[in-house]
Amino acid sequence: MDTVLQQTSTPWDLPFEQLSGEELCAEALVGGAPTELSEALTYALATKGKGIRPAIVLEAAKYGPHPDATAVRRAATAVELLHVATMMHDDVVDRAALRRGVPTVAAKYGMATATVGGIWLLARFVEIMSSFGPSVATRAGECIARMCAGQMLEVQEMFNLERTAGGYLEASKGKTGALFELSARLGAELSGAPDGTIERLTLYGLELGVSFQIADDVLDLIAGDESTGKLPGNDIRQGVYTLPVIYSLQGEPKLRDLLAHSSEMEDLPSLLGLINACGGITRACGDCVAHVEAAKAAVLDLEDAGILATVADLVVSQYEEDPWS
Amino acid sequence: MNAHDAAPLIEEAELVVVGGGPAGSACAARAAERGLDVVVIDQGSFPREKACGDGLTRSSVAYLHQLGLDDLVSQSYEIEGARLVVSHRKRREKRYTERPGRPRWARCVSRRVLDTALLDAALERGARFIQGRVDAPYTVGRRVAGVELQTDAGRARVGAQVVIAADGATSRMRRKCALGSPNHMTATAIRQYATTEHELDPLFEIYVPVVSGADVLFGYGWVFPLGARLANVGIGVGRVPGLKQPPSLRVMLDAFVEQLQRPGGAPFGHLQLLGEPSGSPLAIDFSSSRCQFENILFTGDAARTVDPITGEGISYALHAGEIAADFAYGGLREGRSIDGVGLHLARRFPRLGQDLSPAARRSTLKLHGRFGPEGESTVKLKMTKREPLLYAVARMAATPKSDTRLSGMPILELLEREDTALAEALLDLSEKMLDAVNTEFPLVSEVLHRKFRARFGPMLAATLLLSSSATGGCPSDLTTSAALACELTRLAHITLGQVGQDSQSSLGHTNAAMAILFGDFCITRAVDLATLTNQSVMQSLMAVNRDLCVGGLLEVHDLFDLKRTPRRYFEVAEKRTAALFGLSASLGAELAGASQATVESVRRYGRALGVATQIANDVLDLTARDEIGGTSAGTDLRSGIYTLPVIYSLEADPKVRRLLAGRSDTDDLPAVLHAINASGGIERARGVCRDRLTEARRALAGAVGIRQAPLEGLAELVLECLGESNSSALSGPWSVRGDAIYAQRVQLSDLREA
Repeated sequence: MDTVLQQTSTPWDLPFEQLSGEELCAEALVGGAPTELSEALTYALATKGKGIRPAIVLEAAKYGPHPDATAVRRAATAVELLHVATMMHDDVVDRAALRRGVPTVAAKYGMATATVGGIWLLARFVEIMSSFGPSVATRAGECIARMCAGQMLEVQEMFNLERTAGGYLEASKGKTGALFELSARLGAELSGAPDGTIERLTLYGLELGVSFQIADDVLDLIAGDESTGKLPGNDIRQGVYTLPVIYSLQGEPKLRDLLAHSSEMEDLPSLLGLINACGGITRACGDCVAHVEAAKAAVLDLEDAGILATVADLVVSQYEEDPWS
Repeated sequence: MNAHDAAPLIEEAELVVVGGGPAGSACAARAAERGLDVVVIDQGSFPREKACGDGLTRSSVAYLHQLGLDDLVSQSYEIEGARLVVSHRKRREKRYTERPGRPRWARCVSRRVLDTALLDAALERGARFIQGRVDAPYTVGRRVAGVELQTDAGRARVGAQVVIAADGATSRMRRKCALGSPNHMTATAIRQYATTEHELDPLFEIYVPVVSGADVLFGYGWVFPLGARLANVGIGVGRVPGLKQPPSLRVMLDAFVEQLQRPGGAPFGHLQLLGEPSGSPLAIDFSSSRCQFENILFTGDAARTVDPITGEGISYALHAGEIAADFAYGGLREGRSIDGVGLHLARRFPRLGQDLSPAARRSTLKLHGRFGPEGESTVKLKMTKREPLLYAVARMAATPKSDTRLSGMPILELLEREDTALAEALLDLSEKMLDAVNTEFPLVSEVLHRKFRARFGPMLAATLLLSSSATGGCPSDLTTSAALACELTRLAHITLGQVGQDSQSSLGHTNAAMAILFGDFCITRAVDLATLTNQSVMQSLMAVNRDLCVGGLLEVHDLFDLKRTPRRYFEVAEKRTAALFGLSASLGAELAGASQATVESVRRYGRALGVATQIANDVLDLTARDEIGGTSAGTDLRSGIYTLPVIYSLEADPKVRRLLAGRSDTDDLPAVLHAINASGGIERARGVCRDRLTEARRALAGAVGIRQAPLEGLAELVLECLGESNSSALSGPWSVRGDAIYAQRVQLSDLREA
């Protein structure tokens, strides 16, 4: 295959309002964090990413009678706090110095601060969720349990050349899908949407989350330092074999030998070349599109689902080329 | 079974033990000693050979002494420690240190001799022996009524009320009961006896890694001395999903022997092989749910009680055999249920049955490509040491397994005296706690079980919550969930507290990643449990979580700060210990329906007790003798945490400041500890601790309608521990501290040596 994938230079341009850093900080810093922690959290929340999860909460809320309820807005904030919390912990685990081109909290404020900051935000998330009553609290508990299980599943499969696409999917549903799912469900529930709509949006969230994870993993293989703040192939270096790698392993025996014998990753460029050449990335992108389509299909019946579909398409538009066409 | 073709019943007993190996004999000896009528059946005629590494850990040696087999011990070969060998120039030794109440040395003895002596010990105690091959249990009605066997005289039956299956790794009983095996790692081992040209060092020699062609395999080779010039040479390899399968073991053993013989190789010189090699499968797929079939209890290799890391099985077999005997005794004579032996084993030996696949894959992949065509290794010892799994093999051969059990704790004894129902509830809770950290992710369970036992010790938060809610009955589900959530929060923050210290090194990084993973897991579990309570519990718990965050951060911020003030220490203690203790105590009272005033009193009690406990722990850390190493502890000092006694010493004596300021490593730690002791800082801290305990008691006086005795008892216990700096205090509720030191030492300091 000749197509060399690259990340698009245009950042996400979301067709809806975003939460401001101030708004997030106001919710995060309740209860008197010490200066060092406040600074680190303010920094983390200001350098946050695309804000797609709160956007989903706000969009999903539009399918109920009370899209402007305070609870909706607070829930949107809360899911972003949880997302940032997981990012902070991920950066400690991955030893990442940069994220989206800027230093990570772990790099700037130290591992202890990043660890503690993550727990602080998680606690705030749970506090906010439990204020919406027992059923939301239970869902929040389930969500973080699933996220944690997804992460564990991934660790369990580290360096496993026999990792399957099914195992990958299972981990992705937990790691990323769970919070996307919760975001969509929360928005719909808290604005009083009917049950059928809530179910559709929940499915939309899950599928979108999985597609998002695949796209992220593809980007890890193709994108350079500037765009993600990481070196390409970071996952492989950590022993995390993502969907494109799993597919490549199935089709290219040479890759197996390379992975099995070069743990120090001297051959990373040739490894990445091989993965690209054997079509593993293309196949993974195909799966990504399939999940995007499933997400769109879930909300097809909803009136005015255009924006949700656009959000879904944005996942795919992260690539310059459209290799699956 | 049709009555017509039923084999004759040749014997009946209360307990029939199938298999006369270490597990079966230990079980029979124990059961017979306790007065049960026992029959042991084995197909072999003793003495007989058995493929094994022949090594006896010190725990096994202690057992042999206990069984009165002193002669056997003195005839067996003394082993003074373990040696990890990467190549003959790269090796590391660890000699056993003396521990009171433990045998000084490990031993090596052939299974031919060992198994015979163990069986004899069982027979001396009154067990009877039948030679025959047991094929299956037989039933009467729907109940297992004994076993069917093939003897020289033909088919026969032996009746039993309880059957213990100890028939080894290839257990027929297990197959007959269709217990199968969970599908993950398996392992095999092979050994051969050999005489050596020169004398062997009295060490368990562990050779890592095992290389086959260009592949590194998960396992190790060994040379265990049975005499000055007689060795058991062998190799054991795990079959790990996702890794290359090992070739024939015979081929690998030949390669290993050849590697030992190379010029410049092993110091013991030429090996003269004796007889033929003998191999056996290692059953490492333990599962707590596969240790019992109705009234058949499985034990030893038949229950897969083999260490998945080291492959060691004898000490497990001996203990598991005894445990099975005790369960049988309880069922036969005390009217108790015999259910739960698997769970008991899982708790007692958390390492059993762990799926090490991810760690194995990581270790072996990292070592790939570091072996030349001649098998010469470019692996550095340091690298090996950084591989937790490889190093664990050597470490475990040289250090005792920790076996802290809550049941022996004074806290429990105290509660038993004050309130039996409460003690029961706490025991029950500790089981639920282990279930809560038990997961489908074996790696996590392994680590958390170890942490739980090493670090967790008495579940103080849960104990407080239960004690202050004690109404004499069984705690409600709500109370149980709240107690577990509080305790998991404590465990999470203890784990997360490791992040940040030693963050530069690669090992520090690995620890940090693991700590985050496990800490997050605990928090998630805590939240999940908290959702079973109510909004107010959840929100208070989260607020405490944030307090714990702040406390942890302040502590890291203050590391190695010689200007740390008492005020700062108390600020941290308030956040780190008092907040959670206060919450636990007040929640208990609240859930028991106490008045608002009482809830507040109990909260004040909890907070004061929390600070007192923190001080007591910190004092103990400076004064306690580390049981394992025989050296003074000072763990906190080593990590740069200056606790209250140290801060007082710094204020009182400039010498302490000089010593601490100039300290680049831990070599002069004894001098520092001595100076701290001499400065009176420790005494002053003890005084503050006593004041806080008085404050706690006074707060309690305002609590109405709850049972105060257990809470007063807890304060009393802290006071008792505070006064004592010798081992008697260590065997108190803080004995876990010893294990904590051990755990931390092996995790960090030992590895840092490299």
